[in-house]
Amino acid sequence: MKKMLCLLLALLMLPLCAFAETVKLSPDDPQVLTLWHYYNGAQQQIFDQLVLTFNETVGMEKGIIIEPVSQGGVNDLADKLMDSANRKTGSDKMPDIFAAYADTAHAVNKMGLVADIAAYMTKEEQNEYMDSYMREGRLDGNDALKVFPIAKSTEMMMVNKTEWDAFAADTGADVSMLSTWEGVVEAAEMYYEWSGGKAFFGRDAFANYILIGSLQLGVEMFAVENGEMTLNVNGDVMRRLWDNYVVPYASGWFGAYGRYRSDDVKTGQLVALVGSTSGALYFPTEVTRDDGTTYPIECISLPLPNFEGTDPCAAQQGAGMVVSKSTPEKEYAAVVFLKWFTQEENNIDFSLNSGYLPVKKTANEPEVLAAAMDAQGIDGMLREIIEIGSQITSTYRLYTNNAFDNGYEARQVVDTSMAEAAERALREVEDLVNAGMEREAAIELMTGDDAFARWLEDFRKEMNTALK
Amino acid sequence: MARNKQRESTIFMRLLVPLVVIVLLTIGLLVLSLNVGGTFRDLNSNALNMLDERAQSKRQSLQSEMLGRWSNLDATAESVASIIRRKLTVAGVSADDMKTDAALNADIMLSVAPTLVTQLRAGGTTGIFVILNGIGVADQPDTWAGVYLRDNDPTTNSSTNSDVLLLRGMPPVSRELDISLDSFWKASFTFNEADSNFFYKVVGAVMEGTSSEARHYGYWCMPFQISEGDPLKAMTYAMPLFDRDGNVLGMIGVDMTTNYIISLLNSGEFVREATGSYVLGMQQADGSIQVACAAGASYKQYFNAEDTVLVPDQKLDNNSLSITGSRNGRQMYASVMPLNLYDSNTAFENDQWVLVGMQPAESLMAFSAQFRNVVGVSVVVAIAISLILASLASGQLIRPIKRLVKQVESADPGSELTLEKTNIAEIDTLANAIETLNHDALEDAARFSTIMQMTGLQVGVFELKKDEDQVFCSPEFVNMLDMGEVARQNDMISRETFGRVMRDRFTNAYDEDVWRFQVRGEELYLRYKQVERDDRIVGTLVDVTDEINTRIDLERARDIDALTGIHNRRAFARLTQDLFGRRRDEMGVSALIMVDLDNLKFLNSTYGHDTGDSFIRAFAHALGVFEQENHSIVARRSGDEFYMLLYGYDSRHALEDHIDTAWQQVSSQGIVLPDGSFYRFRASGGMAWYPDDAATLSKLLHYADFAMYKVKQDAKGNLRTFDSALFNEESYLIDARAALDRLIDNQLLHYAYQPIVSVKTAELWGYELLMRPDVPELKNPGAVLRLAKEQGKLHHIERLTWFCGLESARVMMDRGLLNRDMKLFINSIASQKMDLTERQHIIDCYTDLLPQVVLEVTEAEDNNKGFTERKMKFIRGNGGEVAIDDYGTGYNSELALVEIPCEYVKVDASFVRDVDKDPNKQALVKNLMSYAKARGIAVLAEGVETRNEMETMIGFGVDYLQGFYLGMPREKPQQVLQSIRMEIRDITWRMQHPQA
Repeated sequence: MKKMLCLLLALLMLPLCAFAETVKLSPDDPQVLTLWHYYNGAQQQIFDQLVLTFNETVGMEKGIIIEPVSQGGVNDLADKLMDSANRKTGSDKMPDIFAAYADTAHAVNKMGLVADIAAYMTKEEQNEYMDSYMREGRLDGNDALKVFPIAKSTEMMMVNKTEWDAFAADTGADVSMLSTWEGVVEAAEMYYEWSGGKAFFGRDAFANYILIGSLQLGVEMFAVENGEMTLNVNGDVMRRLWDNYVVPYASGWFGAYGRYRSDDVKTGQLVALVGSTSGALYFPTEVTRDDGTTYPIECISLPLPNFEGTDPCAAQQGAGMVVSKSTPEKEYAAVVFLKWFTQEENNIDFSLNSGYLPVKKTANEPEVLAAAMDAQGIDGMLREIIEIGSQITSTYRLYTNNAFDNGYEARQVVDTSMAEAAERALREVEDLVNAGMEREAAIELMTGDDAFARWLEDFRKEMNTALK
Repeated sequence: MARNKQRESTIFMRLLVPLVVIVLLTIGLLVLSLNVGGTFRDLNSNALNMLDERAQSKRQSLQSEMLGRWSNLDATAESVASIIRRKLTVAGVSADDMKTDAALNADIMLSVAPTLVTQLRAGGTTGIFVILNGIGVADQPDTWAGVYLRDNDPTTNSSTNSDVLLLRGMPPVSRELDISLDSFWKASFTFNEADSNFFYKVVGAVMEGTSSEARHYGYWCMPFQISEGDPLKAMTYAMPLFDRDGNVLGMIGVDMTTNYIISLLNSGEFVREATGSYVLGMQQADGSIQVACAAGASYKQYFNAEDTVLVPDQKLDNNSLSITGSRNGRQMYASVMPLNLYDSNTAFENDQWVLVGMQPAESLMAFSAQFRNVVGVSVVVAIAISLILASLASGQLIRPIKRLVKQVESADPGSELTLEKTNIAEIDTLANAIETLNHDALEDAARFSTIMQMTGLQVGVFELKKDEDQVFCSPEFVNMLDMGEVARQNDMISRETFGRVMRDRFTNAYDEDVWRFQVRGEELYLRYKQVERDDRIVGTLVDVTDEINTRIDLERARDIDALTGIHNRRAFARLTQDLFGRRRDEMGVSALIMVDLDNLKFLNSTYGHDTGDSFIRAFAHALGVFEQENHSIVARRSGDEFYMLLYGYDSRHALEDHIDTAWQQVSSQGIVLPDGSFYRFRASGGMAWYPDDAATLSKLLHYADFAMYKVKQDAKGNLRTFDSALFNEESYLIDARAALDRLIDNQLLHYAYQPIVSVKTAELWGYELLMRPDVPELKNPGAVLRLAKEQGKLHHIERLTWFCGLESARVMMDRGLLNRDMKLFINSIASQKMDLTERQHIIDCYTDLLPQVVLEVTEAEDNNKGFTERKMKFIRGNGGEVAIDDYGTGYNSELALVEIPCEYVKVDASFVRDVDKDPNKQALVKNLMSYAKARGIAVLAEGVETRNEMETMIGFGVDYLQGFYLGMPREKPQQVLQSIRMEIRDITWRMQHPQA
């Protein structure tokens, strides 16, 4: 009898629901949403804390519970996600919300599994976010928003100040040298001489060096229009990139030892690195030698170097949040959470504690950031990082290529090809020197015109294979 | 009667209640039998058993994972121990040397590490570690050598070691194995008291224990943070590493992050689809459960994240527990299953790990609750049916009684009552008694009527009973209302007739309860009052004719003007209010006329006030010609002013004719003065029309007054109609003129700053100072200028522009809101000159600001070239610059550009509007650009409101931008949004790098 009554009521409600504009949630029957992210350490700490605040305030009131799950690294997350999307046996259910780069989001979106976030936002709300971030999330080239920006990062340079000061005092090197790539190479050579053969500089996310460098030198390597990519590889431009990385690397002025350059700075193998602003937070406060002893260091935060005589350019990076296609209630609940998370105060809170940059226009104004940092008593390295990040967003052209088919594979080639060529050149130079050749001659042989031409040909081939 | 009411009850109820009691008793017995028979209990325990089964099966899978896989370290422990032994042998040292030789330990761990990676992959744990019984860093005795590896997602493996992190271990381990360092990486282990149970518990057990089997000391540790600051928690299993002689070489262990355990507990339909949750924890001696980790949405709904201990509040039938949620105060049922992780007689056998299956009580008991509901509904239905049957039976018995009651109620009290027999003895006796009572009552009524006649009072009375057809009316009542012709019987009139007479007679109300009647040719005033009681209405009528006549005389005296005998102002107000209110229908077309005698003062002073008075009196009398068929109210307002309201006309035309004639008649009359001369009436009048001009009295009065005022102002002795256009114009002018004077006198204006942005630098470059009047009557600078021009006060405005504008800029600078390098565009009025003293004043006060000033000049029709040139010379002489404003409109064309030497030209907003869509505008702008560029004149685009407009204008090469898109005018100078600046930079960048 009761069931009949319920059924009757449900039938009566049906036409009402069809015209209801907003989805109704109930605090008594909360929507529990799984969220996969790749934050660790301090970033995970502030993320979890904000989620907890949400669950206990807005979530409690509206009936939304967010369950965050850290999937380790961004690649782990992408792999697990693709497994879930392909319904591989033993894989987890698709999460309701997940962090993803444009490449992964593009792939999942093509499978029709991604909800349109714009459907749950007004035009005014969408306008509050930085245009370039929103543009990146409109994967379909229309108004549909598939990737929601929650925090962005770019690249900057971090230097072991303690070591630099000692080096600079002896040699007269100036920090201003580190504003151009040519200057970095010069400083690295000076340091090599001064330190008796130690490398000065290294970098992660090598693809950014190539893509941003090429763009800065006038050629957009992956020019994407309407999902169609045109590949532009310019020999002169690539040569300048080569001369400012492969040559110093083969000469031992640049280096790469552990898995990440930050590891190398931690263990005293390198003095300076270029890395993500979000990773800059982990720049060590001490160097650990191979025998485990440590000494404290300070750091210098600097904007990303540029090629001499070019306009400043930097990578726009940081994953966005994607909402899986499910029920209107779940999708709506997910967007409620994302909007809450990017409210100015929450977004700044997250940024200030994680080294990411906020995504709303107002939250990016330097005065707003400065006031928020004053309020939270943030100073020292973290403040420098945020300030440098903010400086880069306002004075650099921020770039990220639009998603395209096989974009992940193509990026892999860019990420590894020249870096591996540099590593090979270094090994071969060592071999030639051990075999009795003059070092200068060996370096010239391994990085000169012929070597470059060979590599460029290989690079084009690899790229063609990746894009097939 | 009233006293009995409390105990009164119907026969119906007296029968019904016992019947209902019997039904309830029967149903009660049924429900009781369901309870005692255990049906409900069985349903509940079935549900709890289901929960047990779920907990049981999860316990089994988890236990086999924990024992069979994670803690299955014997083989790895053996190979690690043998690597250590071999290393010691090769180095020619003993295990004791590890205590002091850090380099030795580092070397050992470098060799051990690959084995750990292998076990990490095979063992399905999220972490593995080996801690040597030896020093980590030379000369730092509180450090321990070791390696700790972490793989947050053991379900997927990477072919390289990209998914593995080094938590502890020397740098060479990271480089050799190509494993990246964790954010909280340290080269060696150090232990603080708080989070080192996993280590010291094992150490303590080994020191006390006697067994030589390493796994007898194995210890499962509750989740904790390995590194300070790392939010990731993990539980560990660790056991000692023995060498062959039983010496402790170190410790080997694994960890499982809480995230990973939760993901294992989450699998299965119990958590995913049902509302179940699992908790892994340790049961204390008091029965409470210390939570290691919990999985499931329902747990999160019921408990806070920071709860670490679950305290059961009662034990249920089958040993399940009931626990109250700390978050919502509702119950969860829990089935607690022990995990047998330790062998008996081992060090930690008293640590009772448990796996708890939990489900909200309400969802677990949903079926049982549904059954209960079904039983409940059945009971209610049964009771309802019983009630209906019982009431039907009772009704059968009481029907004849009800019929009798009806007869009595509907009986005519004016006649004898005879009741039907019911054939129930008791009730028939009662009926006889009622008949007797009725007979007595009839006799009493006859007596009452006689008494009423004998009193002789002029009071009429009627009584109407609501359920009767006849109305009692006393003879006086009938007489007063002259109802003689109405047929009646025994003072009773039929209700229908009574109603008709009352409606006919009561038509003319005098006031609230007094009515006017024409009875037999005489005017009567009767006061009517009625009282309504339960079932009847009683009314009285009293003759108050004398009283009312007296009052009417008094009122008349009060309304008459003593001098003229016509209505006074008060009467006019009362009568017109009545007319505009209650009697509005009678208004038709009306005219309100105000008249004012022109020469009263002259008469008063020349011939004395008596003459003046008789002049007024005669005039009032003459106004009589306006009165026509009761459609007029003529009154004296005061002194020499009169009001006339002529109303109820069909057309304006007819009334106009009437007024014209009457006015001519009045104008031709006059009085004979004491000196014998004839003095004609001369008066000025204004009139306003209803409804044409206004619908309210106050407005009509105001308008008629205005019309009269105009007549007196320019053509005395006439009567003129109100002109609304004139009125609007004049009243606005009167207000606005005053406003302009206030604005100028008190400098009631301020300046708004609209940002101007340089395209080249994408930075803020200057502001245009825009005048903002602070008087509400003048909303914008346009209105100010228009009015000032009309009033010949443009020069004042020009002065204010300079002084107030510069002063405003000075204030903003002092407050730090305006930079010294910002350009300040100031609008000058071309036709106005500045005299020497003014120029000197500006130089005295603002000489430092002048280099920032850009003078905006316009080429207007009445331009005085001399003035403009002098101003330009002045501003240039002081370091400022000149801009041509509104270029492209009206007079400011190419010619101006040739004639007026300037640094800047401002393209008018009308050219910028939609320039991205309009090829004509584009052509014009292009033309201007080439001309301006050739002469080194910078171009500024005004009124940029969209991104497209901005992009197009930048495309044409304009140098500066101004408009809402870049920034609204604000009281304080504002910065330009960074996003806008980035857009400009983006656009120029793309223009310079078309190939990118």
